[in-house]
Amino acid sequence: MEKNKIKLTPSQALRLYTGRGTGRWISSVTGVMLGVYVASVLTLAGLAGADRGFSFSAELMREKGLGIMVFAIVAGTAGTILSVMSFEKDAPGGKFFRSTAAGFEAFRKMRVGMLTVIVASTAAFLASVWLLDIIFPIMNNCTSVCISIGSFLLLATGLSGLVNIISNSSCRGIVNCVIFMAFSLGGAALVVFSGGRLSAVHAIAAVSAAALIPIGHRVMLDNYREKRWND
Amino acid sequence: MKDSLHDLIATERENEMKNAVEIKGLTKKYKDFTLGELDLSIPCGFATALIGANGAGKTTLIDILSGVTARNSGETVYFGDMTDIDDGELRNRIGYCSAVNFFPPDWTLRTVAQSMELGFDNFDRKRFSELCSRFKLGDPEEKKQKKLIKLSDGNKMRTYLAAVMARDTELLILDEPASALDPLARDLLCDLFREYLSERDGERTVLFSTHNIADMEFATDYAVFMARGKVVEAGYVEDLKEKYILVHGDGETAEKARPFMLSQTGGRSGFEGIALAENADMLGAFDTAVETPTLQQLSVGILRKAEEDGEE
Amino acid sequence: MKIYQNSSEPIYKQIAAQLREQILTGRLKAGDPLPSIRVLAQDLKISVITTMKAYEELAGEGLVTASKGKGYFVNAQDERMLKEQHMRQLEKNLSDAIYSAKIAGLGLEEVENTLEMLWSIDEG
Repeated sequence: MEKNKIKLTPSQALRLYTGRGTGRWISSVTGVMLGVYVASVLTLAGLAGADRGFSFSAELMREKGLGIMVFAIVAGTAGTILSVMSFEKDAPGGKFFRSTAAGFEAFRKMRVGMLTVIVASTAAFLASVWLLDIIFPIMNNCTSVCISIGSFLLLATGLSGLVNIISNSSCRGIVNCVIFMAFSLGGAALVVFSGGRLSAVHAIAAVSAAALIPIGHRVMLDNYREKRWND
Repeated sequence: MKDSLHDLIATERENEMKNAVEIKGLTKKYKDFTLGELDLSIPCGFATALIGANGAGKTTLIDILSGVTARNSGETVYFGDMTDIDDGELRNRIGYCSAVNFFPPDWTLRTVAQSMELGFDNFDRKRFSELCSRFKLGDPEEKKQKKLIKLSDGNKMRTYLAAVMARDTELLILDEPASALDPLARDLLCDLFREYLSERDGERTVLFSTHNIADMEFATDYAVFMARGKVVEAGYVEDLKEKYILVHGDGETAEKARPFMLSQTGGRSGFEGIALAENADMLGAFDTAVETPTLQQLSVGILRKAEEDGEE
Repeated sequence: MKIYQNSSEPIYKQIAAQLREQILTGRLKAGDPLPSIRVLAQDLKISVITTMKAYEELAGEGLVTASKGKGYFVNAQDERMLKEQHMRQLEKNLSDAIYSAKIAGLGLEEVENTLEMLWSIDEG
């Protein structure tokens, strides 16, 4: 029973566990994603037809949907990486975290912080890519693609809460990776094949995500508390 | 002798023999190891050493007492009236660190200070800086910080100890604090224990585990010996030194002495071992030399006997 | 206070002996406080239980008393009691001496001679 009168915000809890609060995490993750995205796009554009100028490459990427693909892959990485972070008892720091005054409460808040980072940095990344595309378009129907990938990633985030029940860490990591990538690419593919149209599927995804994220989170925490926190 | 020592402690403590921790019926089952059932008290105001070989259950017990691991059964009472180790108020009164990997290796002294501050109510940053300089670890406020992974095992342990002792606690529970330290650092650790105990005269307690009591003997007041998940002997060090004797003899008397000995080692050139002091007269009849054992010699004798018992 | 950690004489006895001498020779007066057991342990770099046992021995001899929550204080020493105590110690030492003499096969006269010799050395 958590009778702790200790009040920690999710950002403080995240800082307790990782040394950095939500603000710094969001900026780092978004920055990394943007960096990888821009670098990949430039590389591909260069490979596609540097000798024939960038506008040609951009046209090519748009046609072949390469821009969208890179976008989807990078978008899926935030969730993957952050879901893999574990704080097992025998991992370095594990015993320290379990001995703090706030105990499991701090872990709980930390997971909330982590979730916030995933959602916020993905949203920030999507928004940045959308803005970039206005200046330098490399994909068709950018707005729809962003919304589609966004809603599907939200769903993936909700699901990953349930996935995190898996105790084997490598297994857990792989399943998370598959889910985030699949949903991200799936969201992109849906828009591409429907010719840029959004449909009810997206609305359903978004709504289910809204329900699934808190549920998945709760399920994961209860399971963790019982099976992996104090054993 | 034993009774009057207890009386003395009682007088000093307003007629109440206080225990920092009282453990009843404690068990913890793992796949191939069971801790318990343990019934044990850690006296308040003293330094208690938990002595045993690797695998005896010391770390498990310490982790349970500090709330890191959950027990399967039994109860623990802290400071006479607190029983819930998940209570933040109790946790603030306890200072704990593990033997290895207490903090993540990519942390620096500054990260440690920050997290300790977030994790507890009573972390004193200034005291932490003082301890870091006393332990020659560097300055946690400096711009350029070294990651813990770059430190030797000894310096990592010093970091953990500096972090724990920078808090104003009433009970220190330390897992193998001396094992990674060189003799000079162990001497410093002993001084730190005595300092800690004398700062709140009688109100503070130290509990530490070790598999080698040698350098910590002069900072140990109460000893608990563990083997295979159970307590095999416990008592105040001065009482134990009167309860047992160290016996030496030559090879021929080894077998004659054996029935009166707790355990012994040796061959044809001679033998040495621990026996109950009440057997001193019998042993004196053989050609043996008898003296007061050090805590180290006592540990060897008691743990050897426990090992032999286990093999039966 | 000086103690020898590696001596065969238990440390608590060394401490008790030195304090006893200070009390019996009047250097520690009635009502004087003894250092706190933990502070003394810190100064001497020994376990708290050792200083405690030393104080216990002195308390058992009536030389000091533990005061609840305040520590140990030197008792007023009764002149007659002091003398009695010293007398008892003298008798004990002489008994030991007689025992040694008997083992060595020495007679009363030799013991007396030795006593005289030692006495004059001590005086001179």
